[in-house]
Amino acid sequence: MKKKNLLLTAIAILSASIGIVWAADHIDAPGVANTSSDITDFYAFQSPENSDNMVFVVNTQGLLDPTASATAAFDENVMIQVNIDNTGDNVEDLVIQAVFNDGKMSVYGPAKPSVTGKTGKVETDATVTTANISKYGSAATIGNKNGIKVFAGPRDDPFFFDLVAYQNVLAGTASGFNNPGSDTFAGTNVMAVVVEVPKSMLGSAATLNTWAVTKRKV
Amino acid sequence: MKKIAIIAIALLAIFGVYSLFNQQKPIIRTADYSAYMTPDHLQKAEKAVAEHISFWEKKLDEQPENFVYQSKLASQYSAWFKLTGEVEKLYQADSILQLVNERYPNRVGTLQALSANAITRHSFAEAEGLMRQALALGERKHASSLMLTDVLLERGNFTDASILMRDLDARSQFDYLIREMKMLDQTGHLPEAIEKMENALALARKSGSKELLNWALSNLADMYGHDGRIQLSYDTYLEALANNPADLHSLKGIAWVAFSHDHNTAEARRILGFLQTVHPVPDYDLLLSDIAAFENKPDEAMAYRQSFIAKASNPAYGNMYKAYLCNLKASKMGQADEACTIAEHEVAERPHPMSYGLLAWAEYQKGDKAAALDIIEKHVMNQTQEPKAIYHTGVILAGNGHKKEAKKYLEEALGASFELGPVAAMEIKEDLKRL
Amino acid sequence: MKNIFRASALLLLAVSALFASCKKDDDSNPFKDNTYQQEDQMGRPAINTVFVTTADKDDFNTTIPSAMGSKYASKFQTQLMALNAGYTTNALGMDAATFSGALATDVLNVATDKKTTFFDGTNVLTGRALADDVISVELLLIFGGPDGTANPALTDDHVDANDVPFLSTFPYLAAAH
Repeated sequence: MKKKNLLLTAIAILSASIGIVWAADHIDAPGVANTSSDITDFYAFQSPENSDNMVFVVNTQGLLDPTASATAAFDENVMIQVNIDNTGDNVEDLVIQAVFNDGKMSVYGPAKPSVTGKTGKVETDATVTTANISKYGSAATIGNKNGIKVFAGPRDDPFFFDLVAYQNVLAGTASGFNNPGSDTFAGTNVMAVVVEVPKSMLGSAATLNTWAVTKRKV
Repeated sequence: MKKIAIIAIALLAIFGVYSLFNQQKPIIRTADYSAYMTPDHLQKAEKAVAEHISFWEKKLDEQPENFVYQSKLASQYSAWFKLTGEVEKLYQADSILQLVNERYPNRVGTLQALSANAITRHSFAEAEGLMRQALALGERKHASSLMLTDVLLERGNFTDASILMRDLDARSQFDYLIREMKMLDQTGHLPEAIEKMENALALARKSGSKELLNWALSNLADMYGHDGRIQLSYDTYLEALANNPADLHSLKGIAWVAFSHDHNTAEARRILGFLQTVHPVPDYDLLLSDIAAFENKPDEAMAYRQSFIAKASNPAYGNMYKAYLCNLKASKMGQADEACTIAEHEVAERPHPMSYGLLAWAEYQKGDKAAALDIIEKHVMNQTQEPKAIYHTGVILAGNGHKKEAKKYLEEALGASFELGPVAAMEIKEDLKRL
Repeated sequence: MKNIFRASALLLLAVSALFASCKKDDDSNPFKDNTYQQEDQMGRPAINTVFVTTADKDDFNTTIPSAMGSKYASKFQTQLMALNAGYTTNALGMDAATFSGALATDVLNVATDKKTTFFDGTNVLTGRALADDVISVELLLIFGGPDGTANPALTDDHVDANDVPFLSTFPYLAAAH
């Protein structure tokens, strides 16, 4: 009885930690109990350092306070993937895949995916660029190979938004935003993956359709 | 009184002979875990949670109405309770979440968090209502379904839980596996449950979450113990402690191995004594009372029971210790009437075969053998494998003259001696003899 | 005795399994041949938050973009009109159907031959840079009417920049707090 009840209690405790990590509305994951796969934001922009390059940023695990950032880690069961459509049909023609193992990130691609859509495989025959996952409070460790640069680790959440004012407007408890507003995400961190690739690796289309996905190993 | 003394002496004599023929090689080695018996590890863990709390409190000072910060703070208050046993923090967390829920009703995340809080408080009926509300909203349906499964299993509603799980996908993943494990465990399939938990552990190892890994390890260690694999259980507790040196659950597990398997009461007392100094919750008194009873120190055992009852009856604990209180009052305190009242409440909150088992036990101790039999026949027999329920079923059957069936149940309970502890094991042997 | 034997045999098995897995890790790629299943996705910022109803959020997050347009365009339009019943056209000259249709396929368009920005007054949806005030752009397009002057209380959240400056060099995001 003692032991059995201990077990049940402990399980209830786990459920507690499942339910509570929810707050960032811009996270909005599907029913992901384990929030390591929640995407908070996705960015795609021309490199400020080199106009021949494109940068992709995928952030996960939002609203980390500094103490949480020191112990946060990437889930080795989860792949973070950038999908790139360069033919205009909104189906990925190229993928960039970040996977994690033993303190290291491996980024495969850009490569033509062998599977498209909701399932996936790691394109292990593609070019791979690796970097040690940067540690909280230390300088960024950057992987650099064949003109591709990669980074993984805790960073300031670059997103800024008065989420609360927005929710109040939606809830009908406010008629508009405040001026000045309050940045809900100020002072908090995310687990970031940043990849910079030569545009020449992305095909010749003038416009790319891009999106980020997380996929969990089954 | 004289009679009790004679029984005690007889028990001791039986036990003496028993231990001569069953010398079990001791499992625990002090050197394996003594490094964890220092307040430093817990203080470090507390410092981390205190930092989270002060961060979000400071953010809230700047934006007092920010529900994001409120929700983060509530989750850290819950974490503080889990670490320190300070139950007020659990209520603080709940009232913050209630505020958020009032201002932003029908948000899945708030409802899930409120439900999780209710589960921790063992307010299962409330938890079920909240989870059903969350599930109906549709967002994060997978998580809501899994959490509702938790509540349904606690409430003994295995049918609805199976229906809910039947429609879920992502079955190879941690979240699903551990519910499957719970379902198998509660329906008497322990080896299969362990297999699921081992698969879940493999995933937890890769998850990057020390919390998840620690949870998987310490619970798997419990399960190995239930299955009689005590060495593996002990080794797994040690691994859990290596992963999280502040894991008091695993230290308590080792104290149980020291007592229940090794019969090393001095060491079990030493570990529990340490736990009491760092973690002021009622639980440890209950184990200490069992140890004192085993050492044939009835006065000390009674003092620990009274201490447990005094602490666990604190209204702040709500339903959290009701099942223990009921069992203790019925079995050891001669307060079967009170035990019945508690059991009836427990059955309403948690209509699980285990709760009916308690109610039957309280009725039986009260002297109503027929009522006890009726309850176990309707709600307990063939519905749970939980050792205490099996044991009580055996006693109630015997008391109603069903000797053959009683023997079957008592022998099964005896197979769970490690989980029930040596005192109960001796009592079961006595019961079997009397058949 | 039997139990002790069984436990140590199990331990032995566990240990040999450990060695086996170590060896495998050294010899081959740990990611090879794994199958993965999607859990979350994101194109443009906050689209899910603003345009997708609670009941649809899970489905939207697991609908592939090529299937989103037909499935969600009309739902987005309903949500747009619920947010701003007076919507006629926006600063891009899009009526409700056109605007909803454009957003329903939730991919982030990125130009390879010009400035990449969410909106800078000239370039529209040619990417998303770190400093882009994407929320205010979206609010303006939803609430601002044809010339961006309607509903002035709703068209800007007045958080115009990040709390810390971005880096000019890779990885561009500021160090963690």
